[in-house]
Amino acid sequence: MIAARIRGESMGARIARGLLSSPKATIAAIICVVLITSAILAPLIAPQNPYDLTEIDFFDAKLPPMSEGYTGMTYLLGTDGQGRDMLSAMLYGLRTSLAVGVTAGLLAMMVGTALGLVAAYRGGVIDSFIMRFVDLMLGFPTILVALMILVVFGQGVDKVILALVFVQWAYFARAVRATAMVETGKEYAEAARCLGIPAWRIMGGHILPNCLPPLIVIATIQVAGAIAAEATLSFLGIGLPITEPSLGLLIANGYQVMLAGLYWMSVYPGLLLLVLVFSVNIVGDRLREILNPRLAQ
Amino acid sequence: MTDAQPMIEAAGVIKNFRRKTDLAERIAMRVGLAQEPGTVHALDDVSLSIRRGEVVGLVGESGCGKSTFGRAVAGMLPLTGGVVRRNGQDIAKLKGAEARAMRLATQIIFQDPMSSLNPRKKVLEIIGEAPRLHGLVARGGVRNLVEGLMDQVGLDPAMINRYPHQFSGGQRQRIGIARALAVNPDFLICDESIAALDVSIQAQVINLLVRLRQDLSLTLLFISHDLSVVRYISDRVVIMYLGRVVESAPTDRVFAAARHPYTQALLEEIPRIDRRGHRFSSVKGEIPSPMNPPGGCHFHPRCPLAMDRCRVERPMLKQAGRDHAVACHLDGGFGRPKPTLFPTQSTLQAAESGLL
Repeated sequence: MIAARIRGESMGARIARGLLSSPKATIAAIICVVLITSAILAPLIAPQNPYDLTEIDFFDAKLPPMSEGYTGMTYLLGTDGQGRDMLSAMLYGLRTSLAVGVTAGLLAMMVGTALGLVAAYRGGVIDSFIMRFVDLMLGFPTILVALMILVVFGQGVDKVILALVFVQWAYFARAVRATAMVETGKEYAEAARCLGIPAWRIMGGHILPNCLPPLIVIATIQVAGAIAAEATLSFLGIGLPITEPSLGLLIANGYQVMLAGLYWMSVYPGLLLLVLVFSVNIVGDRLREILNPRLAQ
Repeated sequence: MTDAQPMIEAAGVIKNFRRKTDLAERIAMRVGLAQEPGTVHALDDVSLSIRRGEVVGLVGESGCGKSTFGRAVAGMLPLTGGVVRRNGQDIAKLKGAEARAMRLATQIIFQDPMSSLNPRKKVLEIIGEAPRLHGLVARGGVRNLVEGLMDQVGLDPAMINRYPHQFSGGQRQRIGIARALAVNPDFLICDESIAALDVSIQAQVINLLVRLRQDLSLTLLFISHDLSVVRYISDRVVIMYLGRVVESAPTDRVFAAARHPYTQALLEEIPRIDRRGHRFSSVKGEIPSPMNPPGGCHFHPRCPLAMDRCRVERPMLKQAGRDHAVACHLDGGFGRPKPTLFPTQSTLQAAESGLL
């Protein structure tokens, strides 16, 4: 970290160099980029629009991978029970999963960061109050709390995001507080107070930018966690509504017929989810190594 | 240079630090499972006044409360007791615009040039943020102001868009000085501001401070553990030991006729070219813990001249000449004169009673 500062390297350049220096992380990063791009471009690259009933032919239902359908189109990954192209459904599902996971992760980051900063900067009773609440949150199993919230508030994309934010902000709060406490004790924070700069500005403008490295790492890993948690909730049938199938819901739909030999409906979305979460986590681990001066050689 | 009223006046300033306890700990203490955390007596009844335009050097070992005193005078710490007055007004009682003006009029130059500058901000933002925020300069004038300040502290204004890590230690300290000057203070507290620099750079930064003091008619509280540096810059030297002032005198007088045994011990240890063969011996013993300071005179466990009285009675600051005050029981409260010439009556008595 210090060596990098002396070289005058920006954080972005340091991250890029660090990712490229590990083949594993490079591959994972490329996979992430490919998956995110294809999710964004899903309407353009998907062979069919799985939500458009006029494009779906019921006679093509339950076709195995690589088979040709009535419409003359080849289904690379087969079709599901309604005759939808699995590849297209997965691309759209990936889109939903990523959107929900990233939104929930970022919202949790904002809430957690704000609370963690205030706890570190104010200290005293406010700190104790926030951190005891964080302990409480971290004490409950994630899925259990999310389940409870969804049971209370009902289904829907916004409810799932709310539930994910609720179970994830505490991780951010704890990480930010730890770093922010170190930064608050440094002389530049004291100098800012001495210069009469308002507290919110010292927190947001001075301390927060110096807490970014651990925050980036936690954010990456928590986004992966959010995607996995959303898939779990959808698989259990209380996550996203059936009109917006995510990867978890696709797995759940295919799961019922898996033992009948129609493996592709469930296995391919499952594999995609696995690859996505795995790649994001590998990138996150590598980021941790790059940004943590103690782990760097 | 001298006003009737001191610019800064600290009267009986007390500052205790206590580790905060949470609810669980307090319950544990109630039932006797945990011990009450100790109180650190960082400042124990410190009184000191600084005249306008004066440079006061505050000297003491690490942990004696010098930095705490600096923060207290700057109004950065709530005091446990006593008051700090500026131009006769209690700074803790000021409100609103007056409080802000007072806060800006006193600035601190920090010790560590690494951590005292925000590593993610450019010099322009570091120096220019406060004056822009407080409306001391028009929006378009920030760059001009910062360039002027950089020039004033001897930095090339072309480096305005660089980050702190692109500067050397001495340059960073100059940025810190420019940042403090940006809000037009008339009182600077230099908290060990040059201790972390190379000796060659120290001289440059001191010269800069001397020049700025003259140009901007600043008042300085120069906190340091290094007497030779303080000698160069200060009009008056105040020696602290374990949260108390033990001696205060004009600089020449401290070096020529220090009265307090602690001051004398410090002076003994300044390296001098005419004493090359001298074997240095630090002041005997460790500085006691400020959590549990010794009774009476704080210095008595290490003082070669300690008497019975020193163990029980706290010596108060007494006048020992013009502008010279000492807190010592020896020699009728005048401390011990420089031991080279003739021993005074009291030191003879002390010697006879086996204390020497």
